[in-house]
Amino acid sequence: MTRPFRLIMASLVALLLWPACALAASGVWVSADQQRHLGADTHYLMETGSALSLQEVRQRFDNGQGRAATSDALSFGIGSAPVWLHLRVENPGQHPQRRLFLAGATWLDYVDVWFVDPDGTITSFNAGDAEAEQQRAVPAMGYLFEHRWQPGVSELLVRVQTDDPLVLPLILMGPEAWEGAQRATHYTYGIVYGFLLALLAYNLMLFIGLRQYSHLNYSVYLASFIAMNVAYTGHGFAWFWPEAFEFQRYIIFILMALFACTGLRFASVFLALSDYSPRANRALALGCAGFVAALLVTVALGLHREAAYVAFTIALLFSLVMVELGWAAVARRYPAGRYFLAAACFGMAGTLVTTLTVWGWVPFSQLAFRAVEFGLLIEATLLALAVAYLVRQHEMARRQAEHRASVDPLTGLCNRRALASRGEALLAMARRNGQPLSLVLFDLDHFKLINDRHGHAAGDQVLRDTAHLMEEQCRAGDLAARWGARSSCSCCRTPTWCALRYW
Amino acid sequence: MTRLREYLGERIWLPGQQPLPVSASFGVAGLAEEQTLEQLINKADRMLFEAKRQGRDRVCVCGPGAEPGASAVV
Repeated sequence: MTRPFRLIMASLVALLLWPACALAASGVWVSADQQRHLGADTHYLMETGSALSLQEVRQRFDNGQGRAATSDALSFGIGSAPVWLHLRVENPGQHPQRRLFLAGATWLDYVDVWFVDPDGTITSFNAGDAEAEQQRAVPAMGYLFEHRWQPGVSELLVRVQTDDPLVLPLILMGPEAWEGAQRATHYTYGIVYGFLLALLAYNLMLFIGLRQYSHLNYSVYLASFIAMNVAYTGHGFAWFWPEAFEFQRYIIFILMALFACTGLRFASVFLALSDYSPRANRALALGCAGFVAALLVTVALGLHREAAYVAFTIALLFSLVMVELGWAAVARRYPAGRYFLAAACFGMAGTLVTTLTVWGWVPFSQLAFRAVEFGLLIEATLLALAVAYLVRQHEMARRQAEHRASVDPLTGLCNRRALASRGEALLAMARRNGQPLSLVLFDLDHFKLINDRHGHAAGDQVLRDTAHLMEEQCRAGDLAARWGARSSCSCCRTPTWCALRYW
Repeated sequence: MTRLREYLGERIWLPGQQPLPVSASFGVAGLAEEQTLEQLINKADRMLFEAKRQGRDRVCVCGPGAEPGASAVV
């Protein structure tokens, strides 16, 4: 390769890299009504050894030791070492401007933030849910930091430490965008909770009215989902147990396990698993008990990270088992099996996407993070249909049984039992209206001979024809019935017919 | 009832074969005051028995108020 050619290549590479260098030197910015995910604009480094000071960290970032993040929202999974983040923000205007910085999931233990102004002034914030002095999270949104950015390039440093899943969406937004984001969050949670609470109340009332345990189990399942969601979005810590720090550390995991167990309990009863597969039912109960015991042991021993692993394993297995149960129900043609399978698939897809997002295996996005909510809304709707479908099936079966009990199977006429109940009604009506009523009993002469000569099939045919003729001669309001062999005689006695009619 | 008797004689067919004239014996009871369904059926049953006793293929009627024994043969 000739020397000039190398020179040209080098300058070409430099030319290609130049915009990147220029970008790195400057910073990100948003207008008042904009918001921007900062993940891909940050550099990060893991604090693997002893704790680093701000000074040391800044030095390392300046030396280029930070790694450029590639995704818009960062996630480091469960059990991550503390993470330092660094990025530059540039206010291109002439005056200081207020912009908001929103960081992270609401369950992070320590979120420490430093704003370094162009003139070197440092402002710091300590947020998290581990200690009382920390700044609290905005429920369902994250930790919010407000800063007046001076004109020029400022630095932003963040240190995050947690035993929970380290999910870290970072957003810079203008005041108007923040208002909009808050509104959107309030509305969507209003819809989600409103829908689920209405469904819960409805099923509870159905249980009180119909005493069907499917409805109760389903209500409990919905309630545990709402409780879990309230806990992990930070609503619970903000509203219900603001002082209970130890409780906040583990309640999410416990509610995740409760959600899974109540879901499986609902599935087991709804799909009548104990009738179809007692062994699977027992295995399910044992599995639940085992995982819950494991979780309680880790919680009791204060093993936060291990508790997180157990809880997320439960969540993953739960969604897979639900689909497997639905699949098995469809395979054995269980009445509402298809509804259940469809519901379980949506629920699983949602739970799976959210769990994997939080675990760090799926790139973080609001949609992916909230997938479990959308999945559950669809699941809840389909399961409500499934419960209704099952109730209808039972009702139809009951009606069929009732019909069978009142009809003579050979001729389709009323049987003795139905004659007794409907006959009484006809009698009462005739008396009230002063109408004459008569009862005709008849039987076919020598029916036994027909049976003997032509066979039972012919005998049956004669009976059906007779019933048909009788019905033809009946007027509206008349009652035709097959009275059957008289009780005093045995089965070979000729069948007797009965008709009640007005004259 | 007369028509039913006629039809029984004409319209009963054996499967795939010739018509099979069938006759029947009838016991008829009219509803009297203070009578239960059970009693009404018993009265008709006695009339049916009477019709058979008299040689079948006939109707025995007991009107309302009439004594069970007093029957008319139609």
